[in-house]
Amino acid sequence: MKIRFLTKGKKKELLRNLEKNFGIEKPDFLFFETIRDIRIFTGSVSKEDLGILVKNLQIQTMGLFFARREGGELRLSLDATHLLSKKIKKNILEISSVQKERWMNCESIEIEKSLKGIFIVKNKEDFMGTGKALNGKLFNFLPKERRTGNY
Amino acid sequence: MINPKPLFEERMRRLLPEESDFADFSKKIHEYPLNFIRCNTLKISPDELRQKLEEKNWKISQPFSGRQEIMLIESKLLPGEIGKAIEHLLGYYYVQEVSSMMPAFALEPKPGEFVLDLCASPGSKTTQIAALMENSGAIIANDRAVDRIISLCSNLERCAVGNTIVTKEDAIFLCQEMGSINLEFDKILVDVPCSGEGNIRSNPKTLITWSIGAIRQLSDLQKKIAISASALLKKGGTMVYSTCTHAPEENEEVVSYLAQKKGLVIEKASLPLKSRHGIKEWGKSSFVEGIENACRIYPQDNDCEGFFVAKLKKE
Ligand SMILES: C[S@@+](CC[C@H](N)C(=O)[O-])C[C@H]1O[C@@H](n2cnc3c(N)ncnc32)[C@H](O)[C@@H]1O
Repeated sequence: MKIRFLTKGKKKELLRNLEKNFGIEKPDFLFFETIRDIRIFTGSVSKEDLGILVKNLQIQTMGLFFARREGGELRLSLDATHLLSKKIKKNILEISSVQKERWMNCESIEIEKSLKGIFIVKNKEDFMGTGKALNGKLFNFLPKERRTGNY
Repeated sequence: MINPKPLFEERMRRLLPEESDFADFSKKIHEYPLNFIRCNTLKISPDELRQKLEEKNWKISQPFSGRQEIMLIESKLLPGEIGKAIEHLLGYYYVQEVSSMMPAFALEPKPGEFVLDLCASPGSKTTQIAALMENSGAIIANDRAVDRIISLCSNLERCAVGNTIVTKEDAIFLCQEMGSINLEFDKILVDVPCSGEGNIRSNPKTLITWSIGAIRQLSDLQKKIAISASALLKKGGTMVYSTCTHAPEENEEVVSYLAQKKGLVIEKASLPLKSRHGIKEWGKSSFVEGIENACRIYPQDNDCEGFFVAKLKKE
């Protein structure tokens, strides 16, 4: 795994994006990027010590998949929405319990036509990742292994 | 029902000399195991999870006071129902047999510590350790098997474990590599590959594949892995050696060898399950002083799977 810590500029941009889109303030993680994704390390090891490990060990993966940037959009992972559940304040789309079943089966669900863009999906107190609202539908990015239909 | 091989039975009779105890063991290993899960406290509290599962009409109990994360599903469920439940897919719990939770409890990882989990896939104990560390400090989780590393990574993601670095190396080679850059750990878990005599309830085929030759070979490998790992332990650090087998060659013999070669002290682990003392001798071998502090977990004592856990301290 190629690991690059986010530069100061990129980190600033990410934090701004998180705050602007989801109201998330000061997430306390170490951010790094792989080719497509932003990952986080939640541990309490300094960046320097992590750097030594990264340099000397053949690392398969590190930390947690946090978000994917695609076409200028930032899609938080399902697990990132769980870790940040208390900090997410904006662009939350509540779905019903019936919709939740369909969402977990990776179906897109009907929503108000006026909604557009990336939303954090929630049913009651459960955060369920990110979806994209377009033309009255909420599209789903759940990874295969997290869908009910696939189990 | 698969019948045990005569040599397996003879050895278990030596470990369990009381006729009624052996009879209880023999009966228990043919019963389907109970459905235990572990609440993933990185995502949800045990109370909240219990409520959610009870809303699905699952009957849940938490048999161990002070370890509320250990939950028993008492309802009869359909095959696969526990795995495909939305709460599982969301990472609110990990399906883990209760005895397999004991090594991490013995290790007692604390937030902020540096931990090595040398044979980690598919991650039952890594995810448990990360939860006990509240996702802080750091864990290096290693396994040699490619397919099993995939399960490890997907379990780490599902449980939102963010403090872990995954490597895919032979354990002995990795320890050498880490030794060469002077890495030292507060805690090390060595949950080695073993003959699996403790898992007969969930994997009855073990009775078919069981062989004394395999036990001997595994014992040699386990000694090498354990010795390599111990070189990376900090002074004052703790190492837990565990197997899911009863064979003394893979348990007391390895721990005895390790304690003698490396001067580690065997401590008593405080576990929520009933356990028996490590045995002091087996055949012609007698084991190191303190070996009785090791814990033998038998299926008939707790209605669980069998395990062996030894906690060693570097003084
Ligand atoms: C008992 S299992 C570990 C279970 C794991 N600790 C858990 O709780 O999910 C033993 C693991 O050791 C791995 N293994 C076997 N030989 C190894 C070696 N030489 N180096 C590293 N890992 C090895 C196997 O692939 C297997 O996943």
